[in-house]
Amino acid sequence: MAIAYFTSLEDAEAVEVDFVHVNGQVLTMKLLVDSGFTGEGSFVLPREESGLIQAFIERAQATGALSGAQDRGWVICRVPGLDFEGMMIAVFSDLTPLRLPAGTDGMVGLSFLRHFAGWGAERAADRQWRFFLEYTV
Amino acid sequence: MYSQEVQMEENRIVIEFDRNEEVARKIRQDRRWNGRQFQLGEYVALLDADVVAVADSPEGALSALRSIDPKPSRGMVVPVRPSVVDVIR
Repeated sequence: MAIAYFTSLEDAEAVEVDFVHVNGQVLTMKLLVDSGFTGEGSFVLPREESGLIQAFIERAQATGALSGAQDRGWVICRVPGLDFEGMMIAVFSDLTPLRLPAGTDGMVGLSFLRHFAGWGAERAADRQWRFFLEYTV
Repeated sequence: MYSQEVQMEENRIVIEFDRNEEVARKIRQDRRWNGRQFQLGEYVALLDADVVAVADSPEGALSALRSIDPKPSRGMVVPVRPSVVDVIR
């Protein structure tokens, strides 16, 4: 079992995820954790990062801050510090309506979190909050 | 001339996407297409609105698809399960 830790933001939780670009390069993004983001998509990413799409999937409806038919694609993701790699569905959109915290590039939802044995936030010995992902191979 | 070729390629991508999308929706709704039956949990690779591979994982379907056509803009990988609405905040 391995655990990756991510320093919490002032008023939100975030994780860092590596994405494999179609040109083979790796792009690291800091993503807001929102377990209330549910459905088939694991990520919401900026539309301009469509070079991360390994294959298309059909458009699907969304509701909430993003609504209507959304462009989607399969992305390959890794979590730094964990021996984890997955191919998941990402929504690609204009993120302005999400009002993401400064320094974040997108969002992860429940579908992403459920790839892990455990996840959550805790207060470390230094009294700082941190988010963790626990992965069992 | 160059921009015209680019425009034509973009049009081809859009047309292929739309055709694949139509097939994908039918596969997800009916679990069958063109006389072929699919099982829940399978992943179907589409190219030019044809089924070119069926795999047990999205990685398997992607690998099969890219062995036929390496361009990321071509094809589609479809999970065989009912469509759901994403709730985003």
